[in-house]
Amino acid sequence: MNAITQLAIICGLAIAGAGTSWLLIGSPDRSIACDPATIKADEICLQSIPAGADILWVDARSRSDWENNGLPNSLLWNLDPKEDMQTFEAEVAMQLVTTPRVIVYCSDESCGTSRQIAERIRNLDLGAEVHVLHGGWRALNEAGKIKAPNGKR
Amino acid sequence: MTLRALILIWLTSVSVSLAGLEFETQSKEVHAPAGARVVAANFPFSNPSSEQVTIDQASPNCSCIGIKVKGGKFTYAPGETGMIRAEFDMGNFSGTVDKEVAIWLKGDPKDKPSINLLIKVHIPELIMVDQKSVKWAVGDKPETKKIRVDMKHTVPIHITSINSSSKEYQVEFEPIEKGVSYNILITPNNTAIPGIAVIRFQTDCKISKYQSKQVFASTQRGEPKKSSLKP
Repeated sequence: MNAITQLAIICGLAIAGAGTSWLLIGSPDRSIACDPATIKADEICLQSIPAGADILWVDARSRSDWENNGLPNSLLWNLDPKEDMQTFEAEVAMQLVTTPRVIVYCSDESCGTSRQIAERIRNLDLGAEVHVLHGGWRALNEAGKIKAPNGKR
Repeated sequence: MTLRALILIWLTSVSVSLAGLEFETQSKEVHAPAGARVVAANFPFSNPSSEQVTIDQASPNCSCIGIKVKGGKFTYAPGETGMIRAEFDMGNFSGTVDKEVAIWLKGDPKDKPSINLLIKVHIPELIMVDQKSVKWAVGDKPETKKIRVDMKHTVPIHITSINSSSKEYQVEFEPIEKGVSYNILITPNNTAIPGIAVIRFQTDCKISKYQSKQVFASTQRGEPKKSSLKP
C-alpha cells in the first residue's frame, strides 16, 4: 500500500467518524454557557435574574440593531459619535429613581461596549446596581426573550 | 511519493501560511489636542517574509475607528512596505480610551487575526466636575448642595446659563473665579418624595462638545441592596 492510499484511508476514516458523531450527537453546541462561578465580577448570567425582577435594560448596540430587535422597553446607549451622549445619560438617569437595577447588553460575549456603558452608568453616581449581561443579545435571543425582527419601534 | 514527502509538503504549506507583516510597533499612544474631532495613528509595516502577503480584513472594536491602508494597496511582495492608518472619531469619548484593530491576513482563521493593533488616546477634559450628582434621602433637610466645576482650558470658559429639568430643584451658579471655576448650587423644594432632575449648564466655550454639560440631583428612598441580583 503506497503513501497516498494510506493518507486517503486516514482521511476517509476521520471524515466517517466526524459524520457519525454529527448524526448521533448532533451539531456542535454553540449555545452560550454561563457559569456564575467563572464569569467576570461585573457580569451576570441570564438564568440568575429572578423572574419578574424590575430591571432597566440598556442596549449598547447600534441604533439600527436596537430598533430592529432590541429587548422590549430597553433604552439605547451606545458610543456612536453621531449619537447625543447627554440624551442617553438623561434618559437612563430619569429611570434610575424607580428602577435602580440596570443590565447592559451588546451583541455577544466578545463585545466590550456594554462594559464601557455600564461604567458610564455607574459614574452617574445615582446609586444604581449595574451589571453586564454575559453573552449579550445572543443570550437573550437564545432564551427566546427577543421577538422576531419587528421593524421600527 | 513517500509519506515522509507528503508530511514535508504539508509542513511547507504551514510555514507559508505563517508568512506575515512586521510592524514597527503594534501599540500607539496619541494625545489629542483640545477640540480635535479626529486623531490618527499610523502603523508602518513591512513584509520580511519570502512570500506575498495580502491584508484580507481590518476590523476595529468600535464604529468610531476608520481604517485606511496607504494607497489602497492590500497585497505586499517580499520586502515591500506599507502603512495602516487608524482614524479615531472622539465625538463621545473623554479621558483615556483604549481601542483595538484586528488585522486578518489571507489564510488567517476567522476567529484568529494575525495582528492586533492597539491605540491609546488621551482626550483632554476641559470641564471637570467634582461629582456627577448630588443626593438627598427622602425626609432629609432640603439643604443646598454644591457641585464644583473647574475649567481646564488654556483660555477662560464661562458658565452662561443653567437650567433644571424639574421645578422641584432650584439651581443657580456662582463663580469662584470667573472663567476658571464655579459652584453649582442645587436646592430641592422638599424631600418628601423621590425625584430626579437633570441639571444642564451652558458655556461660552468655542468647542461645541464643551458648550453644554450636565449633572444630576436626586432624592432617593435609600441605597439599593448591593448585588441584589446576584446570589
